[in-house]
Amino acid sequence: MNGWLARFPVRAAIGLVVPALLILWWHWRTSAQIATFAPPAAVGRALAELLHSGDLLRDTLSTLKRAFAGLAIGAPLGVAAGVAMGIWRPVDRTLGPLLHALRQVPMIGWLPLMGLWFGVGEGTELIVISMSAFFPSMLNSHAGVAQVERRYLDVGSILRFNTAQRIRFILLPAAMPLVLTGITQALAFSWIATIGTELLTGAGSGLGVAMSQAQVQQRLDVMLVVIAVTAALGFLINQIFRRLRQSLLRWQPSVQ
Amino acid sequence: MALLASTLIAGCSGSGNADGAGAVKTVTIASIAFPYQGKQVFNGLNGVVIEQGWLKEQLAKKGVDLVFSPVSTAVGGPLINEGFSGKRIDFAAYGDFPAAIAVAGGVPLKIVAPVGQGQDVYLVVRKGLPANSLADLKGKRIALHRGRPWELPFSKLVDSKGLKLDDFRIVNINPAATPAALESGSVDAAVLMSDGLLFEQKGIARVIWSTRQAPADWRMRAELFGRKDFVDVHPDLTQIVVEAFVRAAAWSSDEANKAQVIRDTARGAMPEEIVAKDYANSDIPWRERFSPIFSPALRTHYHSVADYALERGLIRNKVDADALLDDRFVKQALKDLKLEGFWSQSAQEQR
Amino acid sequence: MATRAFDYQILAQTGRTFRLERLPLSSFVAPLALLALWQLACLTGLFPPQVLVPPSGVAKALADMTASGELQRHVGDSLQRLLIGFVIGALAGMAFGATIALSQLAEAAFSPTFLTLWQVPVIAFVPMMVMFLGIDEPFKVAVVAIASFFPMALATFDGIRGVPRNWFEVAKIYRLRLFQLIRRILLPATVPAILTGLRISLTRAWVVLVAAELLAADSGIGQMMEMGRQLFQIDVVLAGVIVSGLIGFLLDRGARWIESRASRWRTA
Repeated sequence: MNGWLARFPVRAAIGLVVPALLILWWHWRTSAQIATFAPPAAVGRALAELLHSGDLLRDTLSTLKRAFAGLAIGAPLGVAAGVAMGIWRPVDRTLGPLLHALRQVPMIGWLPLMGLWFGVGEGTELIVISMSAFFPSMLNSHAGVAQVERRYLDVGSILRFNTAQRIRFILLPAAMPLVLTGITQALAFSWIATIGTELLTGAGSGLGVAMSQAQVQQRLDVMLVVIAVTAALGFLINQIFRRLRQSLLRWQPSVQ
Repeated sequence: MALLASTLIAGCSGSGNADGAGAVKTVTIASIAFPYQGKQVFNGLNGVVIEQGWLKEQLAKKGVDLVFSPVSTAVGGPLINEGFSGKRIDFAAYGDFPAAIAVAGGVPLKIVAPVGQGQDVYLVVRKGLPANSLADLKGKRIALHRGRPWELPFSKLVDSKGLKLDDFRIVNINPAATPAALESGSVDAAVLMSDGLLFEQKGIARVIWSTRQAPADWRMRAELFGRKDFVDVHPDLTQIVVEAFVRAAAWSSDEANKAQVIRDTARGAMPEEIVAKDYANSDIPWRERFSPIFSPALRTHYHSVADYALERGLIRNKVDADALLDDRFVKQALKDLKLEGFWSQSAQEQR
Repeated sequence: MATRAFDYQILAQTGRTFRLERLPLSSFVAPLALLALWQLACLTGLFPPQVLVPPSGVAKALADMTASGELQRHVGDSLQRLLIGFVIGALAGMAFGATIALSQLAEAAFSPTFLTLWQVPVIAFVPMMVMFLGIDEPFKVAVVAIASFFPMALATFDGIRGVPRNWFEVAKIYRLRLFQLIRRILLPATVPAILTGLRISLTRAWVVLVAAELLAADSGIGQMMEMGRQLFQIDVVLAGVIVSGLIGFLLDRGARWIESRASRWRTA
């Protein structure tokens, strides 16, 4: 490790060089007469305007609410399905391939069908978001359960555990790291799906809705503000989940 | 999969409830809405109906809730059709062509209240393109959102010039993406509603044709459609809904309210002067603009829509245009409101 | 990357434990049962055809579209975009990943920007990209390239950083030049990670492409679905769901097959 590079202030300063150059270039481009390009100052004004009107806060909260509601539905179901597939081979053999094919359908491709079956509005969006949270949690839970070492299970049979006890005391704790990984991934996926569905259905409030409205009104400045907020929030949520995961898995020496 | 299956069952059993002939708890009316000051606002007659509050009151007396379901303009017709199909909405104010698509797709609808004399459709070309007629656009790229009401007038224009849709490169994008496409030059022309005038004002495009230059029945129309099962089973509720729309039409037709109507129509959608310009473009007398009369021209229009869409392969089954029209509710409402003779019976012919 | 937002290794592991090489007969039970149930539900009239088209109806739509050449045109357009965008995005991602893995300075300079941008769903860039690139091929190729760039860059980064430090020291002792270092040490050591990265990029790019085509396009499988929706042709929409799922599945399987071949070759 080069010592000076590892120091935080130095790293942070270097990390800011590229964004700063980008903004400079951007400013220069806009002053050099390109009509559609919003200058940095305009984006700043748009941010102030959106903060002041409360639109930004409202949209952000709606998007967060949707993403987490989808996660709360999809992830537990995914974990349950993954664990079931990991424990009972017949379930895995019959459902596995089907789920793997379904997984490859672009989530947003379901949107028209969901719209038809469940109607316009929250319900449809929630189902699509839940589905995108479902698959990563299922895959990782399955992998987690499948890799539990034989000898742990042998201990279980010596102690005459029933299925519930086996899941509760052996499989879940052993599979926990991957289950949590799955949930972290599910979060990222539901975040993407939320923005995507909002962009496509475009009703009510939400960051994706704001973006599609900005498109209609040709407001590049607003678009950039929304993108920046999306980036910052995604970053923040992932950080929080990483910390959470680490503290939940403290007891496990093998993790990190 | 279990997730999908269970939600599917839940969804369908949920929609099943709305079907029963028994007590109706809510009447749902869907319409295009625009985001305005953090809320979804309904323009046109829907907005007036909400503003007047009469419908909500009357339905409440019967223990029925009124729900206005907002649909964004970018997805428009398909969402309403999907809602009708799933029996989640009972009425919708939307365009002629999407409604014909729904009926052809096996979702019977009825026109319970016509709205006015149709709206103009514009053909615009991007700035700097020296085209002045459709023929100049041969081989060029034209933005046209398929399945939307403005497709038919354009299709008729193409036919009338002895051309085919294949003579152009049709790009299927929604009106929201159209200005960017015009500006970046990735399309050369676009078929639009009054957004066409807006783009002209912004200097992105130039109008080279509008339905004003065509026979009156080329204009696209939008009316209040009702789901046939609902209308058949609940004529009483339908009557109330239609009366509310006739009341709203009467209010809007009053010259004194013109400024207000234009202001409300513009909310969240586009600048007021564009709405006014679009209205002025069509030359329809103010009084007749929101007329709920079932004129002979209305019948002709829907026959033409049905035949045309089938002929062009845009729909797969024939739509019975006569079965689409159901004028008993408007007749009754005009009688109840003593508005017989308020609107002319054949306003469509006036130009 | 000291503050890695998202564990890449885990992404790479996903599904690796699944053995799909040999499909047992039982794997056809669920799809067939589902198909039978679906057809039955339609035959009994439980669901009206305008809500749920029977499988036979979807099969007919697929056959009709194949006969008219429409399906091939849409699939061909989509795959072409995928291929061009993927090659551009994956190569750029590899180069970028290698750069920030090999140079601490580059990592410090670029990784914060990279990680922040990575948090934005690619689909969120679509409206802005439409504004700049229009709705033509460059736009769709760019969407695919961006979608494949990020996972590829991370996979390459992880692959190179996973190479034990003492291998580099060995290289230093033998005075290997940069080119030789890449060919002799980095390439063989990072092949598994890069192949996994390629697979993830490819499947991710496919999903994003279909979504972008839904939003703005004049052809492609996503556009076929969007058109079906506008014209209320549910059979076409369902056919699109099935075809896009099948293509995604095949891309994934194909990439996995190459991965397993490569790892066999490596251990041999």
